[in-house]
Formats: sequence, structure tokens, C-alpha cells
Amino acid sequence: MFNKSSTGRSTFAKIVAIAMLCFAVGGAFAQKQTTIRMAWWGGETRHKATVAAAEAFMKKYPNITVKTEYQGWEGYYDKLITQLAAGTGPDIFQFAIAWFGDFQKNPEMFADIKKVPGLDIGGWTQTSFDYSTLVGKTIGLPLGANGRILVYNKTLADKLGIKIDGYLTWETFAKTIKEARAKDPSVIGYSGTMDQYGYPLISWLVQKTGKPYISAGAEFGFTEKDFAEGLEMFKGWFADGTFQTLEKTVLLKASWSDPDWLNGKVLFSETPVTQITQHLKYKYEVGFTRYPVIAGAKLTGVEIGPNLMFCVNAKTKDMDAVVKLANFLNTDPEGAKLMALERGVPTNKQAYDVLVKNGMIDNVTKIAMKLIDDTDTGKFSYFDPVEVRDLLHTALQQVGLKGNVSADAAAKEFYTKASKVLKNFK
Amino acid sequence: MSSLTKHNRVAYLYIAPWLIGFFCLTLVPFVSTFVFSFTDYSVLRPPTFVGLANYVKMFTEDDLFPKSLWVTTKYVFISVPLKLAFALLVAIILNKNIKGIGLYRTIYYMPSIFGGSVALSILWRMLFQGDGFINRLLATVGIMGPDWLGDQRFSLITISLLQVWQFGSSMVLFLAALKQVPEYLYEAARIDGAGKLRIFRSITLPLITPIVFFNLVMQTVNAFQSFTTAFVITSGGPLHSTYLYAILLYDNAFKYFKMGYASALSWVLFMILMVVTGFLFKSSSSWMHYMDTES
Repeated sequence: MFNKSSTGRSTFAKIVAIAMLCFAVGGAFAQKQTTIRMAWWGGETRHKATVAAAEAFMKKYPNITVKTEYQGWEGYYDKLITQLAAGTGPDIFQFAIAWFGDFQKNPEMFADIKKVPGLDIGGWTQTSFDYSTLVGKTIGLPLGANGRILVYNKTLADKLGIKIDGYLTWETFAKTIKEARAKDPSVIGYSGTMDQYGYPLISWLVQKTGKPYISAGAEFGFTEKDFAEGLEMFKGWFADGTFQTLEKTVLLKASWSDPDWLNGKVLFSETPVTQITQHLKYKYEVGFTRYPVIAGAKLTGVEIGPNLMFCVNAKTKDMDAVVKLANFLNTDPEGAKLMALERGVPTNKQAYDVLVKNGMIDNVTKIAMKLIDDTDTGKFSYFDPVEVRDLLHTALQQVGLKGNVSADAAAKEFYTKASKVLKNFK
Repeated sequence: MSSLTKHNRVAYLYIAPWLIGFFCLTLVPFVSTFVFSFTDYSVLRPPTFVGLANYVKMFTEDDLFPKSLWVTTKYVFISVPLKLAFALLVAIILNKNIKGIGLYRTIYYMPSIFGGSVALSILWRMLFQGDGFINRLLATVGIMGPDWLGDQRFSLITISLLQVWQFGSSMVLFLAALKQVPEYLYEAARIDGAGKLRIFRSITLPLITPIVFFNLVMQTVNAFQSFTTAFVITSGGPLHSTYLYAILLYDNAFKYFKMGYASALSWVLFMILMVVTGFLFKSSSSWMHYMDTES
């Protein structure tokens, strides 16, 4: 059946096949094994999605091991900055725009994204990159479009016959809560962590003054009197039940962990858009609306835009592996699908297109995006040093906890101490 | 002579792990913090010499310094006596000849094995939070408990109790001391008609004062440096009512990245502990008794 020449061809083909296999195997072994570290903070769904993406990446690039280091918000920054300072920082890490102030004099710790060879940055617009630019250097790959919005218990509102139509002003926000509490005094108007009381106060201050909370030159955009006025308003709300009793929430470390919120007794809280999926798991239905805004305000004081980013450690020992990982997470169809909406709607066009094509941008997200679009009144510089934030929390506790300081005294203390802190950033 | 040198070498080799650890992890940081305490050091930038500025700031500008010191002093005064009293009480009970005493001793020592761990602190927070186990328990008898941790009036006492709960190591030392008290003294006292309280006051307590002193010094030093419990449970809040000195130190070092200032704070704490310990040593001569000097 087989002639000599065909047998010879067959033998030759086998040898070639074996040789190719040997080369392939040998080639794989020849590829340098490397390990890179990736760090981020977030909730459970973000952790799962990112770990899954890292695993998919390792399957695609078996010679690269990605060591994932993830945790909640609390303590992430302290750990990261200590590691970076000690030269043991992760190779790629999630970073927030709010921390830019600390690195104004040290941008050399971050790789210049626009100068990293092989990094696919074509999917981002310059507007997006503006958010990740620190003293003229692009230090991060902007992630999802983000912004803070109000979340409310729709089931409770419906039960009480309260309609939350259109956008709220601070007056209608308080009036809505008053109306709800008139119908059921056990209802709590608003609850959150200290940060979640701080954000609305900052927002109100910016709306009132039309100036950033803290300017790029490290100056407050408001006066001590403005601050006292805001604190007085909040003090009243803590006292009359518009806000949850501060004793119950002052020590909360995680957002939306107030048992009253989880049990459906609270009408409002606030949330970044990147976390909206968290709210779809409650026993009750939620709705979303815009942050309250003073009519005619020039700025809403709400942080809008891609405030999260992935940064690359300038001291990474394997930039090539980091580039591959960054490209996979942000622009590869498989990576983009796995990362999904866990850091908001991607600002990278390739990733965004993948999610649209796969029908992964749901209606809730679309509504949330519309809300932040409607809140956006231009880029809002959100310079927020940790020490000033702690002082803000102290001022809120002074007026919010029972039997404490007057709004004027708390404002004076905050303004004096925080102004001293800001001097270090000038 | 050469044999002695050889022996010395072997000895040094055996203690080398400890020596290396002591030099690298204790002595070098100890000296470094002293140097850094005279600098402005933000971690991200090289330190710059500022002389005594950090110490001056501590005593003239930073109102959290005296506040945290006051909170820590209250914490020490609440937790240390309570802990020692409780440890002694349990030790006295466990000094009885009852069946299964070994098991009881092990069980009572267990909380100290867990120490001031993060997990234990989280458990403590869950027990004492507004809708926690303690308040639910109180509710069953019609008492509406306060927010133990969120209310400034109770927060420090609540976290001090966790310190008391870790009484095991003091208890073991007390137990050992109790066992050293000669039985004939008790017999003589009983023959003379002394009651239990009198025996405790006149025989037991004086004879265990060296261990009381040791426990007092150790627990005072530990309490002044307490961190984990308050940090995990309250982060020093509400309104700095549980803001222990170690949290002030941590915040400045790892939250605000003022390493120079934090180093100065650590040296002041060291000096405070030296003074407190010195005071305890000095005062001990008036209340501590050694059996051999008494007899």
C-alpha cells in the first residue's frame, strides 16, 4: 500500500513534527519565568473579577505569575505608600486622584505612562489622561468613569408614598426626609460612614462658594464662616433625625454597613457609581438620584471623572510583563470582559466597545452614568490630604455627637488646624 | 585559655540569632528613631535636620499629644488594676485543690494566648456594638444598653475590658507566687483564729508583693504601649475618646507620614515609661516584702 518514497515522506514528517514539538517545549522552557505584583482595594465583586482576570492573563502568558494583593479601602493607602517609600511597592497598583497631593514632589515613583514602550494607550482620550496627570507627568491608566450619586431605598419611599422625582436641592432633600419621617418617625433620613457625611458637606461648600474645596495651590475655597454655616446645617440634621444618630455610625469602617440601612430603615445614602452593583443585592429595591445641588451652583462639588487609575511602579523589575498585564486588563477583549464594570464604565474605548458589544452595560449603569453626566459641571480638583480629612471628620463629630461643641467653635478649630496642614503642601 | 575562647565562640554562635535580631530589629531602629526625631522626614523625601522643632511642636502646638496622653493614662489606670485584681482572684480560685484543676488553668489561660489580636478585637466590636450581643442580652431583661463603643462616655471603659480579659500571664505568675507561700504560716494563722480575709491581707498579699510588683511594672508598660485593640475597634474615636498614645504615633508615622515627628513621639513615650517605671521601683521599697528579709 505504501511505496518507499511515501514511507520516507511519512518518516520525514514525523521527524519534523517531533522536532517542532521539541522546539516548542524547549521554547516555552526557555521563556523567562517572572513574577509581578498587582495591588488594589475594593469590595468582594471587584476582588473576584480582578483575580479572575489575573488568572486568565496567567493562562495566556504562562511564564508570568501575577501575585494579587487586595484588600478593603481601610489601610490600603498606608500600606501602599510605605511600600513605595521602602522600594518594595507592587509593580502595578490601583491609585486614587485624591492622593496626588502627597506625591506632587515625588512623581518619579510612578512610570510615565506615555513613555512606556509597548503600552497600548490608544483607547484613551487626552481628557481622560488629564485626570491621571500629576505635575505634567501622566502617571496612571484612567479606569472607569466615576462620580458620587445618592442611593435611596425605593421600596421604603414607595411604601410611604414619597416620590423622588427630578433632581434634589438641599431644601428638597431635607423636605423629603421630613415628609417621610412625618409618616413614619422610625425612618432615618440618611446614613453613612464619616466619609459619607464628609463628601456631602464638601459638595455643599463647593456649591456655595463656586470654588474648589482645596485649590491646586493648597488653599481652601471657602471661609471659616462658610464652614460654620455648613456645620450648623448638618448639626441640625444630626439632631432632628434627618441624619442617622452619629453614635451609631461614627465607628463604621465600611460603607453601607449600618444595620439600619441594611434592614431597610434608612431612606438615603450615597455611593460612587463604581459601587452601584453592591446596592442591587439588598432585600429591597433601590433607586439612584443626583447629589443635592444648590440651584444655580457653578460647581456641584462632586468628584466626577475617572478618579481611579492603574499606576506602574517606576522601579518595576519587569516592565515588559507589566505592560502585557496592563494591556490585557484594559484593552484585551477577554480581560475587559472579566474586569467588566467593577471600576466603572471604562474610559478606554476598546474596553468600552467590548462591554457594549457583549451587552454588559446594564440599564442601572446607564441611569447612573446619566446622573453623573448631569452632575458634571466641569473638572473639579479634588485635592484631599488625609490629615485634613481627619480634621473634617473631627469637626463633624463635634457637632454630630450629643452634647458637644457649637458649629462656630468646631469650624474655628478645623479651619485653624487644617490651614496649618495645608501649608506643608504649598 | 584557648579552650575558653573556643567555648565562648560556640556560645556566641548559639545566641547569634538573638543577637542579630536584637541589633537589626531593636538597636538599629532604636538609634535611628532618635536621629529621625530631630528631622522632618516624610518617608517620600530624604530627612532634613530641624533640631528640636518636633519636640517643641509636641508641647506647644499639637493638642492631640496631651489629649492622647491623658486618654492613655486613664486607660492604664482603668485596665491595669482591674487586670491585676482579676488575675489574682482567678489565681486564688485556681490554687484550690479541686478536681480537674489542670483543665481549668488551661481554659483560663487561653484568652492570653489569643492576646490583643485583630480577630479578638473584631469579636469585641461585634459584642459591644449598638445591636451587638451585649445589648441584645440586656434587652432580654428590659434594659436598653448604650452604644458602648460609639458613645464617648463608655468607649474607653469598653476597650479597657478587653485588656482585662487577657489576664492569663499575670494569673500564671500569681499562681506560682501563691504556691510559694509556706503552708505553716497559714496553719499558724488559723490556729491563732485569723479569718480568710485577714489571712489574705496579712500573709498572702505581703508575701506575693514581689510578683505584684513585677506584674504591675510589666502591665503598666504594656498598657502604655497598647495599640491593636483601640486601633481595630474604634481607631481612636469617637472624638478621640480612645485615642491612645500609640495611635497618635501610628497616625503620624503611617497615615500622615511625619516620621520625624512620630520618632520624637516614640522617644517621649520611652522617657515617660522610664519615669513611671522609676517611680514604681522607688515606691516599691515601702510596700514590697521579701520573705527572706522579713524572716
